[in-house]
Amino acid sequence: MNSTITRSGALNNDLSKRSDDLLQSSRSSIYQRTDRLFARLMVLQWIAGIITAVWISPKTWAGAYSETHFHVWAAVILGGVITGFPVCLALTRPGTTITRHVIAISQMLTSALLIHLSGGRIETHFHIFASLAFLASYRDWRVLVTATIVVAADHFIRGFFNPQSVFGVLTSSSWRVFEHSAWVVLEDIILFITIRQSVNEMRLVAQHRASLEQTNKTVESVVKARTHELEQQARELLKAKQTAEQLSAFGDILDQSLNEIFIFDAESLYFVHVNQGAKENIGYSMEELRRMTPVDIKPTQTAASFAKLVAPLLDGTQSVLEITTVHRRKDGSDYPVQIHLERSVLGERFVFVAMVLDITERQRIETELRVSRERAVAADRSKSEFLANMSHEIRTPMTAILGFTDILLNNVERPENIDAIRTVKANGEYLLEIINDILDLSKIEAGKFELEQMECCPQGIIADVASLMRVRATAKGLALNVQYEGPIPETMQSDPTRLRQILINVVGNAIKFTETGSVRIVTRLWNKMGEEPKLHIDVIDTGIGIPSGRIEQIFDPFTQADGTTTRKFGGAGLGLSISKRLVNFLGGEFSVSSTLGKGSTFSITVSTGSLDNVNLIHGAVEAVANNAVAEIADAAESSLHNYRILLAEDGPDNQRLISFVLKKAGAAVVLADNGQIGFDLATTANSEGHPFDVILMDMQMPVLDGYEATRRLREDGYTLPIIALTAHAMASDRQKCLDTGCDDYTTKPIDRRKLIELVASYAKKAEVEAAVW
Amino acid sequence: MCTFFAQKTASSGDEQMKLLHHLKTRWLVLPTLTLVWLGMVGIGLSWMWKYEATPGVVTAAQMQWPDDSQIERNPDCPTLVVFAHPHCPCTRATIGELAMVVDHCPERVAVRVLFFKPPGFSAGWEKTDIWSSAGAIPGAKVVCDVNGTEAKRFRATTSGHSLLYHQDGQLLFSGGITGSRGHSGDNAGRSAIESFVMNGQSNQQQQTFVFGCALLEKEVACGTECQR
Repeated sequence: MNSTITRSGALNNDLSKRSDDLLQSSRSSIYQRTDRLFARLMVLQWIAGIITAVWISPKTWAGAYSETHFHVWAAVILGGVITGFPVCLALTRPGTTITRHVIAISQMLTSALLIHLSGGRIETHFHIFASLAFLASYRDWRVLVTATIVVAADHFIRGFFNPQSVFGVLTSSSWRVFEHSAWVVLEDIILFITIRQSVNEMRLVAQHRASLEQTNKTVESVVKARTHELEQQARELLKAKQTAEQLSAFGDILDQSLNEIFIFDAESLYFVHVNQGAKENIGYSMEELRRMTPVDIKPTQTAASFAKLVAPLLDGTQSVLEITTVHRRKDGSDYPVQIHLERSVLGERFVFVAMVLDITERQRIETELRVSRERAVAADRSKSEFLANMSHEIRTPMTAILGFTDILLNNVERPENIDAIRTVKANGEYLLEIINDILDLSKIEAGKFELEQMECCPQGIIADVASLMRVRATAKGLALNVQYEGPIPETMQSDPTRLRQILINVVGNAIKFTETGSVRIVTRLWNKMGEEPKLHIDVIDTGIGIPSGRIEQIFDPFTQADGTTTRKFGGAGLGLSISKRLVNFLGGEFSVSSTLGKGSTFSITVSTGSLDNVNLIHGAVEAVANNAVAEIADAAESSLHNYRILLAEDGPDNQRLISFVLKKAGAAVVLADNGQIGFDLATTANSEGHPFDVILMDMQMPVLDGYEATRRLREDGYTLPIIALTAHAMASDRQKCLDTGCDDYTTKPIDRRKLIELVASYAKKAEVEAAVW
Repeated sequence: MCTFFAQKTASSGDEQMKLLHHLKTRWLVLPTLTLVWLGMVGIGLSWMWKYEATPGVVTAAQMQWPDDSQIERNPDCPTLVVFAHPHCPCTRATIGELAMVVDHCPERVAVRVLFFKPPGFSAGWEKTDIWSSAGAIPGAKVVCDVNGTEAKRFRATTSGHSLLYHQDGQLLFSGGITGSRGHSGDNAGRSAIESFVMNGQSNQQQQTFVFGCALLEKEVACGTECQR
């Protein structure tokens, strides 16, 4: 109630204020308009005064002589002064209070002037009354007061000093002033009444107009609000219509879809609607389906089991069910289906909507895929087994070949025999390299390649490679130089074996394809801010170069730049292919730039890992490689004195070769033909208190293989060193041996020096441990 | 900071003073102009009043009807001789007052109106609306006074100069019959004439100012005794 009253009061205030504003505006407009009218009238009066003066008294005479009459000058000058100021105000400041009061004064003075100019004609006095009436056009009674005061003042002053000029009599009563003024006042009163009525009417008009404006405003506001509501409703209707159209279109699409949709009543379970795809697949018509329930097309369901199945949807514990089952067609054939079942509302009843996917084809494809996968896995396993067996089967005879070649080299003297044996050895080693490369490539392509990450010295690795390859370079009359540009890290995190392998491949290639000139190994460190530091190695040769079109192909396996049958340089074409892959594994890149006939540059980058806290070597030079192999070998020749070694090896050739090498190094060798014999001998010796210092255990033997023999020995508490000896060169094989209980691992073919060093190191270690105990 | 606010305050104060001064000036200019305007108009009107109240030159009239006058004097009643300039605007009021005299004193006064005409002026120069008005007065004889001969005889120098002579030629009244230049209405001259004519005597003054143009050239009019 209070708020209504307050609002009503505010509205009335607004209305009153607006009404006042409109009235004021209207009055201001009248003032301005009347000012302008008076401006024109006064100019006309002035002109009329001049005309009157010129007409009535143009000249004043003295006998025959005449001159312009004073009245003419008075009409022009005094009339101009009387008229000029108010006209200026009317033009420059129309509507102001002072303007209309000045106009009122001026109008009365004009009357006085005209009366004088007309010789005081009584008719001219009507100008005063006419002027007052005209001034009433302002609807401002104050203007009439001003004009009346001027008239009264004029009559008073002149009536006092020269009554004859005003009243036309020589003597007059002082009341004549009031009599004359009274007529003016009478007119004023009439005009005041008229003005008051006019102003009241104006006020009423203003009130009506304000009221009308407010009504219009209210109506506009209501219309605007209503229009907005209608627009909102229209938008919602349009949206609803569009949604309905979309749903209708979507429903039509779903109805014609080959995907199956079944809708059945939630209580009776009878089908309510089934789309075209479902009808075509199930084979029933809609009329038939209306008399059926889902149980009728599900051979694996009964009414009870189906009711139990959909119970979670009915009680609301689940909103959706995903079911895989079988549907039976009208012709009796079954097909597997995957069903997405949910509860919904159709019209005013609850229904179940089943979106059914015929998964016959999917199941067939899944079956085929599974079979294909199993075949692929089997093939991969076969390949791996083949590679492992081939590696073993090739390495085993190669062990004998290379081993006995070494022995022969030490025992022949005739140069032609030495050359022949060296040729056998070189070809054997070449064959072994090819086998190793094939194994590496196979492991890389099978994704089974494993890298080591350890701290290594890049300068040392490069020095080793340079030292190793310098023999070949020197043999061809080439210079092999090592340069370092800028600082290089003292150590880095990488796989030193693989880095060495890469460099041997690349430098060996450079030497192979260079006839004259030199091969340079230029190393620098790339350590840019924000990037991982990398070691950059360029191998620059002055060889035959590579045609630009063949550069990419040199990285393909079994491919050389010269792919013709008449090529000059041999090689399997695996080195660069493997090296490139290895470089990528080491976090780097491998690129080649070459000029045919002038030489090639092979650029290798490998990741160094973090170089924080790693010393940088400035001004590095080629390190002196440890080439005292022969000395070590010679020293190793007698490093196994007084050691007893059990060699479990089934191959007679390898028995003879390895035992020969070990015996030559001073060891006492006991042979075991298989794992069982080895186990027995080791156990017996151990129990007799005279155990073997080291057991060399071949892992692939008849009766009892090396893995099982080692496991049993360890299970029986055998603690002395067991070194696995196998032709399996895969990394997984090494781990398998260590897992079984072996202390270390070495592959066939044996490296005589490495084998002696390895055996000696474990024998001495065991000896030290025994002494401590 | 304080200096800044002080400057800002000072600046604001200056602006306010300027605004106030501007408003004052604006408020004062129009009233001042209005007062100046009123003053100018007042001066103009006072000049006008002064002009209207300024009489013409009056000389001592002939106390006896001049013998050499060519104008007929009525032996039965007083004769009123009015000298007028045919182009004097003020004389319209005199003719009007003369008509009033005739109207008030019918057949008791003989009226002679003499219109001055300078020699050499074209014929009809003297026949103005004033001549016509005078001619329309019942019993009034209007004649042309070429070269002001009669005016000189009667020593009349200002248009509107009226002389009332007794039947025996004795001067009864001399002066104007308007209160000011060109203004009709009650005046001492007309009252005196009417009193002489009607009563044979008058307690009004026998001589009044004449408001009108000079009838003769100044040197002629003021050759001897000039009286204003």
